[in-house]
Amino acid sequence: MTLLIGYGNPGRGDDGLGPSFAAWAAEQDLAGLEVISDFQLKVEHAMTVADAARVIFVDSSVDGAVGCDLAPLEPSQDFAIDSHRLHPAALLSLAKLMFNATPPAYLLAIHGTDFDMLHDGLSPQAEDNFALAKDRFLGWFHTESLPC
Amino acid sequence: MSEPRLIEISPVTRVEGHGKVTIHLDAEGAVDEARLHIVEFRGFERFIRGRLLWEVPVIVQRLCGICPVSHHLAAAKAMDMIVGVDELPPTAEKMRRLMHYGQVMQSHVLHFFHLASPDLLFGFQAPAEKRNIFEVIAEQPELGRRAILMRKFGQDIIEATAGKKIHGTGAIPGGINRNLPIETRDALLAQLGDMETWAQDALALVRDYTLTNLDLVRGFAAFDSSYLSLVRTGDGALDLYHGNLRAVDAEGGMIFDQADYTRYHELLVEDVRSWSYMKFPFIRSLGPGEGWYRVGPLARMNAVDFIDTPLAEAARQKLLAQNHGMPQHAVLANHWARLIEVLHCVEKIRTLLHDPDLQGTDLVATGTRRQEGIGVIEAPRGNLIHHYEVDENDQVTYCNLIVSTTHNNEGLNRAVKAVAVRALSHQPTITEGMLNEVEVAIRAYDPCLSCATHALGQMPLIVEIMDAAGTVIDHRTKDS
Repeated sequence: MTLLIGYGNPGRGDDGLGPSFAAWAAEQDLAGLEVISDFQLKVEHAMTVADAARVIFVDSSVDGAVGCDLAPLEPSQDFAIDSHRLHPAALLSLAKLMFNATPPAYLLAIHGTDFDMLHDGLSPQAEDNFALAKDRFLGWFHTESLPC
Repeated sequence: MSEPRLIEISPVTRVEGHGKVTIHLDAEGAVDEARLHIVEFRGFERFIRGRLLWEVPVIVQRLCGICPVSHHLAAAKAMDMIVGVDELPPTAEKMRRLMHYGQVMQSHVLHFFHLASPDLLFGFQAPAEKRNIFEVIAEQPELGRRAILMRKFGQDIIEATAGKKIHGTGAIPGGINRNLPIETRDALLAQLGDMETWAQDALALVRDYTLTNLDLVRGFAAFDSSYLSLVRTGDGALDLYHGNLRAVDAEGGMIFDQADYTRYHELLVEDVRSWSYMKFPFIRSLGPGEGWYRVGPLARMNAVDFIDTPLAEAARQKLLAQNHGMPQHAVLANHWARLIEVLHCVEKIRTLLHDPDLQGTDLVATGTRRQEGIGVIEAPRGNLIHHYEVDENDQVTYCNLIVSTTHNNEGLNRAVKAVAVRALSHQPTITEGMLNEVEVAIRAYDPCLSCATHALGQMPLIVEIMDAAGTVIDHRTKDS
């Protein structure tokens, strides 16, 4: 099973890139793809991650390359865990520590520009980047082989 | 040390949203002033204007990613009032209560295991690389496993009652839009034995920590205050979902009792200060100087007459015995109170799951339309007030929210100063451990400062130390 977790607050403009992407991915009816859309990553997601053959996290990004960036992700304990913040690398580390699971993981970061609070919808730039991210994701999904 | 200095901690780590702590030192190195600033203006009350009353219980969940159910239910209660419903069908009220107990349980579990336990197990001054949940799991893997499974249990209850784990739609004006299928009930019941055992074990852990470290707990940011909470109508029992307002003073004496919460604006005043976006409520009859109060798990333990579930009530009696039956003022006792409430929620969930009303089909009541609605609930972090007015087109024209952290604003600021005076005054250098003590005091209140964006690259921890001229003389940043 391939797990996609798209996360962010849709009520904060481009912070909703992750949930928007998750909604789009769920509509693609891709074989073996399980989609989670959430406001934020949570510790209990470690259980689902542990059951996955591979994982892709989708989040908005305020820095890095314009467009989107897809990169492998390793477990890391260098990130603090709190109620509102759980870095995907820290989540991977929880899955490794607690369930001895280390599925191959990737982070798809989609660049956003407008994070003003309490408004719906993506900025035009984010919409463009969203389209780029679809292609990157589909390429990854179909060509990145599942581990044996 | 010859120049006054300003220490800033911004934003506070491991709390909800954005905040900044500034600590001013005088020329002798003593703490002169300490404040918790809220640096982000929410604007939610303006955002909600014009929305239809039917969608409010769903939209308000955007206020917070970690306790959306509290806002969902408080808004739904306000909308009950607007649609003229003063009493829900039993199935609706019990489904909402089940949702709420699941929410309080999973929120408290997250706070205790993942945020507080590193400080309690390893000590506030332990190296930062040791003081985190990964080290807790490495040393006590079973504790970590239980925390995640308890979280999941609470989330499963929310999904079963609200329809979704996130931004559920279960509570609607006048009732609920689903009941609990038998198979879902049985799946939850099958887990309850473990939940109760694990809740008791966690409670024992924090109780033993408190009793072993009594001097530290009693001396850490501890000060007397008044307390505010809902209590059950009539008998004054703990009731997280509904009741009347009670305020008690530092000795447990009544300031007001069994007050209809729709009168909150007669009982409380929301004060403002120039340096923070967050208001400072106080009890009107006591005035701004003496009228501040605290809310939350410890406030509830202090304010209620009893808890109507036996295991939690026995635990509460042990907590209050530490101060001879009087209110317990030690801020770190909030952790103990939080675990008592976890046990209470498990007991309540058990009772509800055995109640056939959860399979009832009378889900929604109707009444005569009103223009104004007020809903109050005891959220995980404390009392939560939602107040709305709507026009003849069902559109919201007015909204006022008092969230738990706003109630606790004065207490939070006093806690910051108390710890800063003790830990930072006259120190030649300010260590990470000292700054963590300030944050430990803040975290004990479990504040939810705002529901901020968490986009990659944001929310580092920035610590700046400045001299009297505003020059930064020390600077630290922790990436999120």
